[in-house]
Amino acid sequence: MSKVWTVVGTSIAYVWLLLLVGVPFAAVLVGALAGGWGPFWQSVTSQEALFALRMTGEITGVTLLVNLVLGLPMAFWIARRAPGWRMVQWLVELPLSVSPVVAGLALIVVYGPNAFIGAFLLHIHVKVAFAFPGMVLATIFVTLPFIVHETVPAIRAIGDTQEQAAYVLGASPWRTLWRVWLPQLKWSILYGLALTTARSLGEFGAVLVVSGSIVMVTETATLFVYQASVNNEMQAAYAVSALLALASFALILLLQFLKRAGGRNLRDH
Amino acid sequence: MRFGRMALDSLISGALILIFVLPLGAVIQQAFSGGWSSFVQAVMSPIAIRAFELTLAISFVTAILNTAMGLLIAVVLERWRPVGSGALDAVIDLPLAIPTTVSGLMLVLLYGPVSPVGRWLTEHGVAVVYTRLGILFALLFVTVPYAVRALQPAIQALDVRQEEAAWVLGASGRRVWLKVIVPALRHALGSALILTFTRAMIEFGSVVIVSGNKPMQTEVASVYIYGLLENYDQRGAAAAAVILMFLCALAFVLEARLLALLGRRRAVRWAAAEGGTRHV
Repeated sequence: MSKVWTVVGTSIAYVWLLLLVGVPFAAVLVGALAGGWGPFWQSVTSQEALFALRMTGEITGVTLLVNLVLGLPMAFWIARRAPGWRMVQWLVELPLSVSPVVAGLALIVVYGPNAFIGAFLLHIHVKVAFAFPGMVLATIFVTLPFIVHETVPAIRAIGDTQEQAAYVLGASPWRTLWRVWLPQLKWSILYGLALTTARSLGEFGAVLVVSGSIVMVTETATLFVYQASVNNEMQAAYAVSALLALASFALILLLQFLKRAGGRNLRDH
Repeated sequence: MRFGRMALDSLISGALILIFVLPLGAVIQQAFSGGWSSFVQAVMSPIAIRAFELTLAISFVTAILNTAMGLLIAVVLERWRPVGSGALDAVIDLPLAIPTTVSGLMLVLLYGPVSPVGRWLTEHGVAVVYTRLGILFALLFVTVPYAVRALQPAIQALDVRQEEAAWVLGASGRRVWLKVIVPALRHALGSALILTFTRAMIEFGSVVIVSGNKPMQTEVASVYIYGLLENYDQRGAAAAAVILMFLCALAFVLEARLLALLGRRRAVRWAAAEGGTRHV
């Protein structure tokens, strides 16, 4: 390829990304601050917005915890090729090609008040659909792949020689996990957690269907944005959007940092 | 120890069943709960057919465009590494991290009547918001990362010696690309294509805001399913959901078959050429 083509190709790539991603991103920041800081601050700190933001934070926190507890053993299961690992892998990858709306629908069909399990849970006073547990479940459905995806290649690359050494030296499984596995997997796990956070903050379709989007009860930040835009309260919608966009930008910087810090340990397998 | 292991395995299996298997199974069961005829009736309504047609067509365009641009961007990042490619690399992940509703709103804001860009486009007779063009923009935005991230590792893993051999044998730049690099990337290109396509098929948040959701005109499949749910038609929604999942699965199968076919044709041609030279 001659020099000219390199320059032309590079410019096309830059312009494409600028028009497609950069300009819209800038537009939402400009739009949110069009009326100055006052209105922006007012919309972000309104009671409804604050409730929605807190709800998103709580869901994200619980999701991170559950995904870590479930995701890591799943990653080992797949990485070790233990019996049934293909099935586990297939199931974990599944959410990536299921529409969020369908995910929400699926959870409603099983855990809704008209379904068998849902009715039973309601009987023992656990409300899943249109309540917090259902929203967490929906978020987990959508985000479970990330930690597994990031850690499986790392586990395979590290192999089991160190684990065997630890075993021979008499270390308990817990000690092996803490002293051998976690220190080596920490960058992959952190990367997976950051991706999970990004998706949990932004999850919309599945949570919308499962939660019913009840104001001040089951409304998350993205649902707030949607409701505000439907009700034509554009200032509020733009303000919370800008906040979410900035949060995602911060997460992207974190991801880049993790990639650098993890260096060889990450993605290079 | 043994017991702990079994407990852990059952915990994971239980979680997988409760989160994925049972709900998705229930959707299929729900879809067919009124028998075949009501399933067919639900998915053959003109609005449903139009929604699926639109989804397929726009997703296809999105997949082609973004795979082509993804290849270019990946090459820029991995091979040419211009100034600021670090920032470029970060920007690519942005659509993954930004909530889809926010992406939709960004486009409404940028191409709506409030912004200078939107006004300029309206003056020149181009409407983006609440049109199919808007849906395309939203899908292009949302799927940028998938194509690039699918292609990057493959370009890293390319064997430079093959290219060098082609250069030394006097192949032109274009020939090296078409005959050496692109064929070596065919699996990565296939997965970039399929990933963008399926993500475009299932996208909801950004499209629901940008498209305006006019039935028969700008309503895509996922929005159609949501509309049915809002009207308490769970069975119809489940039926449409089954079709959507089936189309995505079909796309995966077709891609695998296509790649296998291409691989076999290449092998046959290679064998023929090899045999030919030996006879000489």
